[in-house]
Amino acid sequence: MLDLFANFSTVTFQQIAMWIIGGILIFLAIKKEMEPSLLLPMGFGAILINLPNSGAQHIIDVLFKFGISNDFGELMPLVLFIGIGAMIDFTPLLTNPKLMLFGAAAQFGIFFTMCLASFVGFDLHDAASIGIIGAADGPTAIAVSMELGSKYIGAIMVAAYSYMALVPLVQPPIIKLCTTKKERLIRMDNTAGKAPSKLTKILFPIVVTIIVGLVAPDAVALIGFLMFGNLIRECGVLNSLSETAQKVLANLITIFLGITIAARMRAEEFLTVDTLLIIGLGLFAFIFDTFAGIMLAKIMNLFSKKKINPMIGAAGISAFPMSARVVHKMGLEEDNQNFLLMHSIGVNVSGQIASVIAGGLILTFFR
Amino acid sequence: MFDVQALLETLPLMGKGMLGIFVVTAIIVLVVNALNNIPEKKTKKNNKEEK
Repeated sequence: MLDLFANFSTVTFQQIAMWIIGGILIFLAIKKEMEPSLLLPMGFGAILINLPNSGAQHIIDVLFKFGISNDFGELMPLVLFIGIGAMIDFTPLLTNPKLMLFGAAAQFGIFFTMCLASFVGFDLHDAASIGIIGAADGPTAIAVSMELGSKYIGAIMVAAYSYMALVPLVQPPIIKLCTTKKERLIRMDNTAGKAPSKLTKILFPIVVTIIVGLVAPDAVALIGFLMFGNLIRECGVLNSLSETAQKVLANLITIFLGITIAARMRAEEFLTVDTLLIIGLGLFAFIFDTFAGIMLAKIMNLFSKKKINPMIGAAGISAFPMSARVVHKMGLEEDNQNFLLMHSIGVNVSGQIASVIAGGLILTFFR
Repeated sequence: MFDVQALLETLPLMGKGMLGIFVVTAIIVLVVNALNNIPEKKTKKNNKEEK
């Protein structure tokens, strides 16, 4: 009879702490609806992997090896990118291409956090992996941190997805702090620019892949899979594949991705001071992404006759589409006739591309 | 605990990274502007509508 309870004596306090962390992630996913598709599997996986002598360890390790590790080319995050690419409509960006500059500026948090992380003692590869939390884009963060061989992928993922879910809480105070009421009231022309042709929509993913691939060859897989998904969407003859990529493929990968990341959430690896530092640094990354996007808009306003509402710069953070919605909502709160959604969506999708470019550049620097 | 030397080593990378992103982005913006200026081929349907 005592044999039935033999495993109880092997439970450690650290494992219990991980059950609590897993429980919190599940709570946030269900009760607060914070990135439920990722936080729920991660939370459950954290419990699964931290049961004493867990029989799930082997299968989760196998999933990690074949799905995420760079032995097999970070299969899951890259395939997920096909689904994400198929979901994104680049029309607002193609209508007003200069919006892309805000996406570029809002990657500042990545590099600034990388500097901060190395300042507080992380080695260069880990610092760069921590900085990529600021990409606000799960697949990019996974792919880059795996390529750089970071041992902190569990903490990096928890921070990245948690802050992506917390964008509606993190961004508004920063936006308010960096802008005046007068700036927040700036109305932008929603009729500017002609709609892009079908040919432009088809050529865009091909051209972006070639340009980014030539500059940052290490980013070809990331940008290529994202743009491949978008090409399937825009070509007009693969609607069934596009729908499958957007729904079935993306959902299937998401189910496994969350639970597989738990392979790096073992108590002995996760419960460290470094994890707390990484979570703190991740917040810095999101704050400075937002700050830099807003500042670029303010600088452009110094030289431009047509004023830009600086809040749209904050949407350059790649968290799509939450960030665009936050900016649109804040615009309406200031002036109920100020519709910023078209512009903020354009900036937001440009952030998606820019974050991949940033990831590629980091890989080019450090490999 | 704080490594000033490491910070000084990473600052140029920050500059290079941001410069790289802006250069790539500027090229993409120019190309998209060029793509937007390609005249649309009129389809038979459009021609009929115009008539």
